[in-house]
Amino acid sequence: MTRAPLDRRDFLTSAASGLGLAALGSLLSPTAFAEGTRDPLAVRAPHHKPRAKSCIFILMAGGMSQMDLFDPKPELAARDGQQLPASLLDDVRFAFVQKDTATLKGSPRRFLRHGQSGLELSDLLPKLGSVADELLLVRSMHTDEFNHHPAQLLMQCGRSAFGLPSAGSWLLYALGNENQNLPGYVVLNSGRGSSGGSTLWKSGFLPSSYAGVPLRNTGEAVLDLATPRGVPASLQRRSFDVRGKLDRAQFERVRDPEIESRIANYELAARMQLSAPEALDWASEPSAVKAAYGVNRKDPPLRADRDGGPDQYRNFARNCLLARRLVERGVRCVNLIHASWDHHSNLEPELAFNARMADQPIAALIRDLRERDLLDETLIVIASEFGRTPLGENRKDEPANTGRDHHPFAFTSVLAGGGCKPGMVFGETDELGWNVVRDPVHVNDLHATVLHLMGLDHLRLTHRFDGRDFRLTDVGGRVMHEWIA
Amino acid sequence: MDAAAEGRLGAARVAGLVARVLFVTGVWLALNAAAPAHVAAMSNEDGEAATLAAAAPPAAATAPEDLAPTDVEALAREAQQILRASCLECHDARKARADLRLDDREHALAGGDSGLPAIVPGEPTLSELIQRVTTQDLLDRMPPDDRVPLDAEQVAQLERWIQAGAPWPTQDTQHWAFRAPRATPAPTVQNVAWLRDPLDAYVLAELEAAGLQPNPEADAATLARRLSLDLVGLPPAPADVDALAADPGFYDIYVDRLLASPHFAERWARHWLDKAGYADSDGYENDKARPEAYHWRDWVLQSMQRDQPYDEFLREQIAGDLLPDANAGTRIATGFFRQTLTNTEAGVDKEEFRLEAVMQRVDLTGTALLGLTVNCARCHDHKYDPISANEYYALAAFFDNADESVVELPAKAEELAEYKAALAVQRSELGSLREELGRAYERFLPTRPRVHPLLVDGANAQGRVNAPVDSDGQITLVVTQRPERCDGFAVELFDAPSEVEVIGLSARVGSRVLELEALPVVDAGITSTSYRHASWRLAETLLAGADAPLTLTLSVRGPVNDLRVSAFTGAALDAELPARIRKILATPLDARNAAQTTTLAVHDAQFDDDLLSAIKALKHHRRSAPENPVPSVPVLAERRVDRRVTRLLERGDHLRAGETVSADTPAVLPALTVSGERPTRLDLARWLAAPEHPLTARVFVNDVWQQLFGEGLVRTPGDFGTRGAPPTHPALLDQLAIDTRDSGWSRKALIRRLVRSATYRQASTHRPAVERVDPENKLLHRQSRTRVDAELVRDQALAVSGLLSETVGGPSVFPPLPDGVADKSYANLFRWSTSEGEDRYRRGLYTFFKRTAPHPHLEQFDAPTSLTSCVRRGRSNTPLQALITLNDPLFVEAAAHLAARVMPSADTDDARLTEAFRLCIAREPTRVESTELLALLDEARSWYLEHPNHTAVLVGSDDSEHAAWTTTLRVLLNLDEFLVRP
Repeated sequence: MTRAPLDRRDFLTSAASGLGLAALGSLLSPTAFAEGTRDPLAVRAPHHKPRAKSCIFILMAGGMSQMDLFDPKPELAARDGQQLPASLLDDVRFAFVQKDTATLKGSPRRFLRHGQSGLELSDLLPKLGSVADELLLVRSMHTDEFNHHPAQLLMQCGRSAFGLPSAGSWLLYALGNENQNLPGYVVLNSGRGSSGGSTLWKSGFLPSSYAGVPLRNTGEAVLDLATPRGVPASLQRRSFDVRGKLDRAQFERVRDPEIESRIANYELAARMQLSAPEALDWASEPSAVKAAYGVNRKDPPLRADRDGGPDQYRNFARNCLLARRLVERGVRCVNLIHASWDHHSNLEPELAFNARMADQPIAALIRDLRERDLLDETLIVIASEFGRTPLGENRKDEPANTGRDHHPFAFTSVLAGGGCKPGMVFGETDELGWNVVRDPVHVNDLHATVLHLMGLDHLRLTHRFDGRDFRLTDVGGRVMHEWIA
Repeated sequence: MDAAAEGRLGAARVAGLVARVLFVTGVWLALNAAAPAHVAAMSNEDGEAATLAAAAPPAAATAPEDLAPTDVEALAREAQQILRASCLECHDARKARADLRLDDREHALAGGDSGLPAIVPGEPTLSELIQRVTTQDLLDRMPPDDRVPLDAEQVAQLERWIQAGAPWPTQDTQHWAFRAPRATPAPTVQNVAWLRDPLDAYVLAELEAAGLQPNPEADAATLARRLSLDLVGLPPAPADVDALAADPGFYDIYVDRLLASPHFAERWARHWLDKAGYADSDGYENDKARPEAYHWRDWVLQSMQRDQPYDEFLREQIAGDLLPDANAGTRIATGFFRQTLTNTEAGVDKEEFRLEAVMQRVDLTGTALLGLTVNCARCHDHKYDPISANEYYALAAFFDNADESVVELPAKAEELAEYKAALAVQRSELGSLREELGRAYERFLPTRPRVHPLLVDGANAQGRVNAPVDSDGQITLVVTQRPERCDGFAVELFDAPSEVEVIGLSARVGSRVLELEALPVVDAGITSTSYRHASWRLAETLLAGADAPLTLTLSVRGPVNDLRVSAFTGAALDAELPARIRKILATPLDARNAAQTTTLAVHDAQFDDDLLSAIKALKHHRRSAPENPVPSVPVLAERRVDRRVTRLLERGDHLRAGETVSADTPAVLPALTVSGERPTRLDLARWLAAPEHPLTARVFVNDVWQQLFGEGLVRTPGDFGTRGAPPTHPALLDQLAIDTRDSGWSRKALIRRLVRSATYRQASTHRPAVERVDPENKLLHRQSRTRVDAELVRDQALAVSGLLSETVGGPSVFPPLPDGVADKSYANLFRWSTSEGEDRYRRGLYTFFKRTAPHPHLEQFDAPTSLTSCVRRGRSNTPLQALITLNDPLFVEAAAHLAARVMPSADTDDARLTEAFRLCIAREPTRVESTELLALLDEARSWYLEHPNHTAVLVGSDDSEHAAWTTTLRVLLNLDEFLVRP
């Protein structure tokens, strides 16, 4: 099946005629479009009316401890130090917990009710509490994987396999990018580097135009964005022009439409050179905004033998502020990745450290988007690849019960904006936080709902590869209509 | 074919065409009708209304000219292909959904539950089959739901077939790829003069049938550039372009010279590395380096260079360790299967990932060697191809007893001596670092955290006291005895009701108020809800002296009955100690050995920065240990004892092992010959490379074809199954497979034959009228223009500038890497030690490939991720690529060297520019191009004359002329023509 090539000019003409979007929508067929289409990032119509135009997906790599942050478990605290019923331990694998001596570990955190919704959050998240009425807390997440890299692939790409597109790539592939001067899927890292590294934002079998573009925390944010040192802007512009003329002459000779695409991409590169520095210049924000996000906060002292990565507080805060600047400018997907939340030991000080890092900027981001009337069209997802055990970790020869192991059976994700019901708690875990007892949500369900809110049907957004049609939600996925406002 | 049949067929074709036109019109109508519905759906609040995503796109209206088969048998086979791909999943003997079977003629004529005949021979419009695949009613349409509907061409084929009486094929209906290749004599063509090789006739016959002519032959510059990029991956030398332009007979000589070049192997080894998923690191979280992985790459380079026959090439890679004449070289060949990922994340289930690697080997065999998606059968029987889950695990059984092992290669004597010397130095440095750590620990020891319960009035033996809370919510405690050194205070409340909260603490000595800072709650392991504690650090250490008594005032909310106050010394409260630490602490200081001191120091480093840095120095030193020069090359080795029994894994889950499976090959393919008492990997290798194997030769020639024409004859090179693309030229594919196999499996001979053909030598120019008929160039009406592979983007720039190192083979290198790439990988553990000297300028093939943080120059230009087998690279075209070739220091450096190369080459700017063009794109500039570039040059010239600082920054000297040329020639390195293989 082929599709008429479409470039931006065509799109603009047809959009101007008023029928453009509908016609484009019909082109988003199950096989979608072929590689080599002239403008892969042109805006395309969704399957249905979207609630959100952009998505900010915050991956807290390593595994946030849900019962210390989001899911209060007084019974767990009451049974602190007791053994877990054997029935719960059968058939369960851990990375490190020794089953025979493991005991329950209650959370020392205090949970406070916030806002009109009365949403309960741990005392480690006071600022997030101040925007509690914007949050949808999903306490009934579960996943299939219990090692980091496979589970991160599942959370980012829908399945724990390599070679698949990440959710951000799918969104860009389906919808294109609203801003023709910036990448459509931006990745912002902070902390120590996640287990999955760049495999988490690949485009898999989709063309590489849909891969995440990681911005850097040091130096120029986009690789090779700056004109070479020693070349003035005037000559750079002239070089662009001459290059374009020569390419157009070549197109006249050989008539290969890929040349037009190359001309367009060099023009886009030139525009990126001009507009990306402005878009990424968080420092130009008013000082009140910068202070609200905490972009100049220093990392408080933390004594830990693990290398946490440099300047986590300021990098994470800057990334949150950048995320707002990017979605404000029409970037389709911003993927923040912070590592690590993998607190096998020394959990209390390290989790307190991480929570303080994340609390203020995320709350500021939500409030900022709300004040700019952008929250309703921006979907924010905060998730880890899995949760942490209600059991204390008791690795041999290590201090016992100062941390928690990986827990795939029940954990919490947080959503905000983008058409989600605000101030709501969804799902429930048992009194120990071990299993989901009400409204389980698989990672595929989360993805199906993200796509739905972005105007896409997860069953119809497919790509033919290796002889079959792939989708983000693999063979699962249920749209959580209960979440939608 | 008899006259009657021919007549029927003619009628069928006409009817088919009419039907197709009608159908296409129907699609347009449907599309137009759907547009308003879609708009309505957009405004629908719940956004749930169905949209018309499933209809065939309008491009179908300009489908290629009718290429209908020329005999009934072919018509029947085509129909079978469509039925198999789209219908038989549900309507075969096994499932027979709606009681309908389309897998034999009798059942198909009878129909299913609807009571209507699915097929009425000669009457497409009365056939329910056609109704159901064309209806716009989504409830009725087949295939149902989100499955891909038939396109107009497929429907027309079915209609022609039914019109012709819906014949079932008389011959074997087995999918084409599972049958042995069949020799077909080259078809007769009209334009015999065009032919250069018999293969051209197969191509020309199809073109002529479609009423098309091939493109004219490309000019000499294009041909030279195409050949050179295809065969060695480098731009041609201007002298060779001249020779070709002067004498067309030079073409064959040039081909042979390129095939003999040492760079031939570099180009073609890379294609094979893609398939294997070659990388220099493990993958997964830790993604450790594999410093000896390159030995296998060297093996491939050598094999390609000597043109090792493909069957032997396969046998050595699959079972080089089991060959009767196995040697180190053939063992290293099995590195093909050692490119699998390794998960060394702490806490992983090793067996899970061992099995994962075994399955990756099966998948690799499927995708790269068999051209089949056998991986689909990991979890369940293949949905479309005849491969059961059982057969998948039967393939896995060949690899289940292949252990990951190493071959040790001899080290050079002087390297060994150097290593031993370096090791001695390392040991002694380690000793002094340990001593330094010991000293740091001694300095730290007096401040080691310790908690001292304070004696206060009314306290019991444990220091606990029941003190009254006054009306202000305060408890005042007078300390009667305190330690010599106090760094802070801790307060613990016992049996406190839940509403109790600690608000603050103040301390004074006499009337002097001490400055206190509240600490976050840090001590772990005490989590009972009736226990509260809080601690404060003193701004200044309080030493014992003749001071007045210490008074503490605690502010609380709620009733308090039982509390304890303590002082602590050192940085913080001591956490619960592990057994090994307690044991060391129990040992008297002077009786501790070095290891104990180190262990304790590592533990205590959380309290002291000096200790932490001493330990980091020690750890860093350990990591910088000299490398053992004895190369240990990863290979496969057959397990001799304690052999594993392979089991089918339910849904691919290693925890759900099912029935026992023994090694065997899929039943749909030729039977395995077992040479010994049980099937071995060597049997598998021989089976694959056997002449009667239907897939091996086809997959091989298709791959070579793909590298030379941009697309394979089968455009899904990893899927020759029923869901893959059928060959564009089936007879040609078969003939090439047979010829290659029968003439000794020579890769170079096949390449030579293909590049000498008229088909290959066509221009790649697009002819708009022809493009409309054959938009995807399936008829090969022209050559393809393709963006050069990622490595070649770099290699070309280095080659034309004269920077490129010509060294072939050897360890991977570390050309400059932009900041902020390496630290995206796990825990920022990876350090990229940038190479010096010529290693900065090696070909991209040799760039160290770190799976979780690949070099962006490779990544951005679609180099494979090496996470799965890659049999066809993507060829994206992005603005980020433009930024790299425009602005990256490497490309600026190349432009500067190119400038330095052409400036002395002639006396005039015109001639210099011509030289640059010839180096970069093998041709001379047009007048317009010269005018444009020379104008830019003039502008740059005057600018740099006035801006010596910029000149210095750009070219490192005061040579404004050099800077001006550098700026101008950057344009050449960014031309479409430079980035594209023509």
